[in-house]
Amino acid sequence: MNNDFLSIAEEKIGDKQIKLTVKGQITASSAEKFKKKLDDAIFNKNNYIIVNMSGVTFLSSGGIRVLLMYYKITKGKGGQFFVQEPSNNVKNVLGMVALDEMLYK
Amino acid sequence: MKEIVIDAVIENLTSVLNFLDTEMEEKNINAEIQNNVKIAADEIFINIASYAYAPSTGSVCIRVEIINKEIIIEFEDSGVKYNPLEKEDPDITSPAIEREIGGLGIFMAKKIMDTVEYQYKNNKNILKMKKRVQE
Repeated sequence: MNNDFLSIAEEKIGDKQIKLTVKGQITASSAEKFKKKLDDAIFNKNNYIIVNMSGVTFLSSGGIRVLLMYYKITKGKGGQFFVQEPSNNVKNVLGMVALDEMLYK
Repeated sequence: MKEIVIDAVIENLTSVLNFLDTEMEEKNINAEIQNNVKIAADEIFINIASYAYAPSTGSVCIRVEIINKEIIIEFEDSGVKYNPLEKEDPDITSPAIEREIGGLGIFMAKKIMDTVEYQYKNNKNILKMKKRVQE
């Protein structure tokens, strides 16, 4: 298994709305790259952020920290933040720490 | 039993995960268990890399053994004495917006593994965790 592959594609889906499609492994070390993308999204005044995680094969606590951080920042500004189409691994890990509410319903 | 001795720096996390993958794949451990065990190992390694020798650096010895339907992983470092298991579990009942950002890693490792034990012996931190492999 490739333990250092992480790709993040961004797509503008509306005014102040962005979708990030993440593929690969969010380890404690690659989580920094993920954080940088979300940082940019906030810096660019997006207040509706969708993170598609259908291609994420590994999500560590470092990755959850980043999700939680930007969930709180976006919600704190009155915006929305969702995890969309979680892979089984992502669903399993978010369930483990009872953060399923981040999932797009 | 296989072991690696590696510098405890965050850049080596991939090597640690690859080492564990190789061992678990060789023993045909199913993908879900493999993934969960790596989540636990990711956290333990990063803790050692971040705090054990700070601000300097040092090494960590990682051993893995898969025997009698059990995965046993041991981390041994000579850094500052620290028992991560003494850390209080985070409150996971509150809504996400009220959660603390950190503190989930060790909690997840404890949840994933069947046992996680810590001992300080001969000036070394030894963290041993075990996970039964389902039939």
